[in-house]
Amino acid sequence: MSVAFILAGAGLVDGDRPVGGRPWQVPEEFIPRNVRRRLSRLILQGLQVTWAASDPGADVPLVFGTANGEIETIAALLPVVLGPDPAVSPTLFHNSVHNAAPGYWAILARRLAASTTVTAGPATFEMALLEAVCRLQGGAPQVQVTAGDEAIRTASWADPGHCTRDFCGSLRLAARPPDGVPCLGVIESLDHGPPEDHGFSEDPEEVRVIDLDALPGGDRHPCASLHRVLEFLLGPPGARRLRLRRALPGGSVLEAVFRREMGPDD
Amino acid sequence: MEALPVLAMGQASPLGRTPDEVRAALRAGRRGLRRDLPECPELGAPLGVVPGDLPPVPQGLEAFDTRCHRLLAVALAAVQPSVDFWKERVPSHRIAVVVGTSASGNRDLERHLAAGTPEAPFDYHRRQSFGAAADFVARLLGVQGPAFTVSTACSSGAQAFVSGAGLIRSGRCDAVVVASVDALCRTTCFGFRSLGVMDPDFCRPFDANRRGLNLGEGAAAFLLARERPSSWEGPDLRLAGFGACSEAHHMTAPDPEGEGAFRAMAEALSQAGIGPEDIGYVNAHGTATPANDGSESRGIVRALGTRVPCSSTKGYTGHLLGAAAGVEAFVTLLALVDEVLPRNLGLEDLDPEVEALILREDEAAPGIRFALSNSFAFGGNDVSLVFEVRR
Repeated sequence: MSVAFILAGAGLVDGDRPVGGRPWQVPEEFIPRNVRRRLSRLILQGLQVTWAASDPGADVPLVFGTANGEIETIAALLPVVLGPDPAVSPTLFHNSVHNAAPGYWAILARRLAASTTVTAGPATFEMALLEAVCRLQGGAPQVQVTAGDEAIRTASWADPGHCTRDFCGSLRLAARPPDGVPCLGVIESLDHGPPEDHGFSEDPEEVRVIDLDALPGGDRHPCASLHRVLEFLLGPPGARRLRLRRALPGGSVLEAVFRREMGPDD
Repeated sequence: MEALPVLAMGQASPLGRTPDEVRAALRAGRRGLRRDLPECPELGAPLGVVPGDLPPVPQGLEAFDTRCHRLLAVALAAVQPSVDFWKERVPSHRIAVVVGTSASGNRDLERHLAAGTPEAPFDYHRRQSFGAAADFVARLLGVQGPAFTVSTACSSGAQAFVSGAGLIRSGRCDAVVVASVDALCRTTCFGFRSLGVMDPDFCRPFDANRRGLNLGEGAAAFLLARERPSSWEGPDLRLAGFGACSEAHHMTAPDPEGEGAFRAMAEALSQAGIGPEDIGYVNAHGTATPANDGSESRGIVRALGTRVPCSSTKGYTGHLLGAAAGVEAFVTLLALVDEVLPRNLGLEDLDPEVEALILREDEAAPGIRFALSNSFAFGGNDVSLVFEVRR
């Protein structure tokens, strides 16, 4: 039995490179210029990918995942608050909260549905996905999960090497298969358990397996897993299934199996 | 939704660390806010901190040592025995952790940078990264289920309940430790000052002359479970429902008509399967800012009418930010257990625009069953929680 159906997906790398599929453009009027100039890259890209994967006709709850949040805004605030005259910019202050992007999304897109912001270091996307799936199982017909982190440029204390590029992505999930409308893919399973319960025994031609804790090349970007899911769903056809495996902070392992149904050009 | 048992709870706040300390302060009308604290002296405003020294984090977790995590450890002490009970009965990966925080280890980072040795190592991933809070709690309690932090500014502690309930209702977990925390930091203090919403004196929620909020620190922890074991002792407390929504109005200012507050409360009642007449008490968000209290009163009146007793307990504790919802859930549950509703400390002249029934004095509430706790946040992130006591 499937856990969720993926109705739409979108991703951006460094603000201008879409992940897989066709390029897309957010209408200028959605983010007015006087608002845009106040936004961090994370907020801006979060808004763009959320818009690109959204349902224009439905008010869908949003789960936003970000490991480092508005860390560059915090880095801009810190010298001010540590100085002799802590005159903080009110805009920078309210833009420094972890849920700034979903707050702007609700305001600009006039969405009244609930949102939350999940953060869990390298497992941030996986935990945001789990939260989204719990909401589907709790009765929400659709839930959108957006996750991203911006490159750490000035926050020198924050282990900049673990996040050296901007990435933001979004998936719109549904509890049931869409009526007569094709979907991008299916989340066949999403389970957590002790490591010994989760072996890799599938046919490698059918299943592409990614153990996110042992990625070659040292990709430590907190949302690297969502990047790979979007490449799998939106990029050139390859394996039919993608299995993600992630060690969780408490010591268990979370596994998700995605099945590709159709690409954007199918 | 099916009401989920709240099997244990603990907190650390400016009112103290034990239920009896909190009770004693509430009954005496004794605020935990002080003017003589060394925190942010330039602020010139009362602040609330947890009294006394906080013990260091347990051995083996020294890399996580921040004030934020020390506060969590104090609140978790009351929950640990109940977690151990569940660990003996279900696989450890079936016990999850959800922590709400708005600032994580920012206080310790500020102190690290202020020390003037930026080249000295700072363990970002264990001390300031927001996910560190949940990681710390999972390690401290020795549980292996999903562990994550939710951070929606001042509703973080309430959103942690929402996520915890989801993990149990989906059948993925048997028990969830729901916690929340924030330690005072300069970024938050001077950030709120920049918004012009801080009272230089003690805050006065719902008062005609209110000038803004006071800030404080704290932590709270609860154990939610899929069922209440038959042998379980103590009051039968439940999370009966919740409502959450976005205001889509402004990043910091609430909708003046209280539309979001209304929708959150109405959804919470609906989920709990009860009507407005069933609610015996509202622990209001009640920040004492000019904008919040009027807006919230309008939302309360629309959702519940004008006869439900309400109070904000921020006159006692200050606004505990990411920990506010957790500590206020603790206070709300105490009110249900004790059948006594806490007064709205600081109220002198009720704002004539406030039509909600604000308690000037403590009020006996014999037989009270349901109470509601509101939490609202930057980004228009509104949450209402309904708690229940079964007698």
